[in-house]
Amino acid sequence: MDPKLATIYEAVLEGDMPGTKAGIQAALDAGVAPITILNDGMIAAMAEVGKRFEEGDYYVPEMLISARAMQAGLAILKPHLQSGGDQPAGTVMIGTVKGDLHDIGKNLVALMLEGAGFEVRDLGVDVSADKIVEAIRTGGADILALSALLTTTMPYMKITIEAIQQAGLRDKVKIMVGGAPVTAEYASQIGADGYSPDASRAVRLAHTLMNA
Amino acid sequence: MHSRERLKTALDHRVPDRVPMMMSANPWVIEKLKQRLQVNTDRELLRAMHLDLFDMRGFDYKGAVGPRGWTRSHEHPRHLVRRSPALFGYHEVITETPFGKAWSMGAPPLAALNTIEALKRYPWPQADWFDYANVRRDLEPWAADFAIALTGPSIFQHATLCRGVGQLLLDMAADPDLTTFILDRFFDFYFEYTRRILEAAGGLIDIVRLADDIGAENALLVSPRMIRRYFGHRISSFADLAHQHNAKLLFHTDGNVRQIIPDLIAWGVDILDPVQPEVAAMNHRALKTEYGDRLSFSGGVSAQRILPTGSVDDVKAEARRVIAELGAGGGYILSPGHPSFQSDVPIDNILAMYSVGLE
Repeated sequence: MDPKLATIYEAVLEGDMPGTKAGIQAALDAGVAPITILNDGMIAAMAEVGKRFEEGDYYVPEMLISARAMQAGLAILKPHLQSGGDQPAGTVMIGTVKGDLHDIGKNLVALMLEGAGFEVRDLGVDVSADKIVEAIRTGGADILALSALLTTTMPYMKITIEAIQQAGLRDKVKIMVGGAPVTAEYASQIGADGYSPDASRAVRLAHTLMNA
Repeated sequence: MHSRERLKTALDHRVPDRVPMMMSANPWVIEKLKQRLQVNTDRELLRAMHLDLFDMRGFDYKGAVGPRGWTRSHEHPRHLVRRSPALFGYHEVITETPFGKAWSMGAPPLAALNTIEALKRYPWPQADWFDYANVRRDLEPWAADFAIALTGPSIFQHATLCRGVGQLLLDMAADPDLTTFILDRFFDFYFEYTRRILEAAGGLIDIVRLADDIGAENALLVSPRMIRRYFGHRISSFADLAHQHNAKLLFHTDGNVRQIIPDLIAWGVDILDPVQPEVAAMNHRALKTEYGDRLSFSGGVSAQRILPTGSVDDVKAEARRVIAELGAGGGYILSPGHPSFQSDVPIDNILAMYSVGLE
């Protein structure tokens, strides 16, 4: 790997925000292609973060500082990327279902998806079925990701998917679900397209759904 | 057997006349239980359900009025479930779910305070806000019937509520000094508050409960290294304090914490709660075999699956399973695998669970 890219890769992996920003600036100044910086430096590093998380080497704090470094780097890189005409890996709308204000899981998934090159539209917390139907209608998103932490709010996932069906929009998006009480069985019971137990595997699932 | 003797026997890893039982629930569930059992007061409810532990979160502190403008009537409902993070300026919000009301997280008051200087200016609660003079006198009528748990202290959990869980987790990796400053404010207050209550209670308190969710569903939320660095000595101080007053330390954390259990035991934790049965790594038989001689357990009855959606018979079978697995030879307090009953658990299922404890 180009030493300039290796510096960026290491900085993102270590969650070193100033190091990431400086590394990207140096690479841009040296004429490295912005899309190469994004793919080989940053997205590759976030993939390694996800792998370390799954292997129990990284935990949530390490993942969060790497995602923060990634985002700070993207802010520098983005103006250069526009002219390069890159395409996102896909567009994901994400939110916690009605009644549920717990957003750490949802935020982690959003950060990891962004880290993997997806465009993420965050609908926030406590999102009603109506609001989600409207967002799909006005849309353009490939995937809808729903999160619930509580057994009391999890049934809103089913209600939301039913509302999307009734609005005739079910074939417009793939739907993935997650959150502490959610299981793969529950996901298939309510007609979701996929379930993921954590943020790293959510990225893999999103890629799979994009190619389905 | 008196509730306190029953509890002490179980926590000494001996077999009591029956398993000791404790309960916490949101106020809407408490109200439904009172209506069903046709009782009016918390005391009558504890008696009617044959519960052994009185939770001091329902305790009415005389003269306990803080400078933040909360009043006893507003922030201190005389309930089994008073929420102490309000002392730190945290307010919960009530949301509607398909099953009725639920408490949920409000805006974190420390979210925008990003320097130690700014945090120093925050009005942190002080143990002096409370008057402990009548603690013993007020506890005596409860101690006549029940064992007593001092519930409410938290080092990490309440800090996550007040700082924002994502932000505090980020701080832990990005800014150890800021993190330490925040955790110390929670530790210092709760430690001194607990110390004064234990002293004033003169031996009437049986359990000190420290609640810090360091586990997520699949794995620890933060690394063992960070848990040791940020929480080890603080948990240990709480254990020493409880033991000095002949009380046991109950440590509550949701999720998969298997990896850190040997540390928790070394730090002096006596009881681990709520050993979520849905988490594969928290297998009850394995935990009992590996740690049952040194560690007691509470919780364990499936609150993510069986209590909210199972039949009365499913609940009874589950409670019998947990009592058999975790309660063999003592060392177990019957309670759900989530610390507090939510509005989706049918009242019949709650009553069925505790009826098994009386068998």
